[in-house]
Amino acid sequence: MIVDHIGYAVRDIDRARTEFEGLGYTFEESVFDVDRNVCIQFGNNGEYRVELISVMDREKEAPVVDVLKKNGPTPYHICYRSSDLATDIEKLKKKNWIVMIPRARALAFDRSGGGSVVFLYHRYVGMIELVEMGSLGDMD
Amino acid sequence: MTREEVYAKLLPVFKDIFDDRRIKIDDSTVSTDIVGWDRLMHIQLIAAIQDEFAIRFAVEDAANMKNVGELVDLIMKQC
Repeated sequence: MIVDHIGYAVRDIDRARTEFEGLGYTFEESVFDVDRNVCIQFGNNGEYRVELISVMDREKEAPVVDVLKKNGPTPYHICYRSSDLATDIEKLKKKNWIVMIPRARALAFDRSGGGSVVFLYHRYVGMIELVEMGSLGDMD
Repeated sequence: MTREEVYAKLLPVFKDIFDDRRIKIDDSTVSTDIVGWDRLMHIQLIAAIQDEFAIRFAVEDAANMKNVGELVDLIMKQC
């Protein structure tokens, strides 16, 4: 699978963006995903792409809350592109991957034509995200 | 597997995941009894248990178990 981006958990997305801009990244507009309780901003640097993720409301649940508590600002997942999310999820589940966050529409991909994502976890790999671009239906 | 056999195999998994050799578990143990047992650690624990026991939990079961006793019940259903 091709890597789409690396996800970074950050406490302050504006200050983090400024530092990443100093490293050569150019950022797209931020997206507020109320359902997932996160603010997201994609940055591009040549062929590399990062996703900055901060929490909108720290009192509410979001996986990134636990990541920030434990590690502070840190890269915490790699997102891979899938051409068939349902099939890839089933393949990975047979290899002991666990669905952490079920398939859902990802607002952050709406500007790229829409997409759905799923987060999976493996004992020996950790967390990954899969994205299927252009896919909004057939949620599991 | 008997309940005792499940616990004999389960305890080392808890010790490994929470990196605590002194950890103790029984049917009434809940997440607040163990330091660091948050949502991320729960996923790590479930992944390790699936691997050790060669079983698979339903997503809802993995998310909704209330204590270690329920976890052991779920393991015993598949072993």
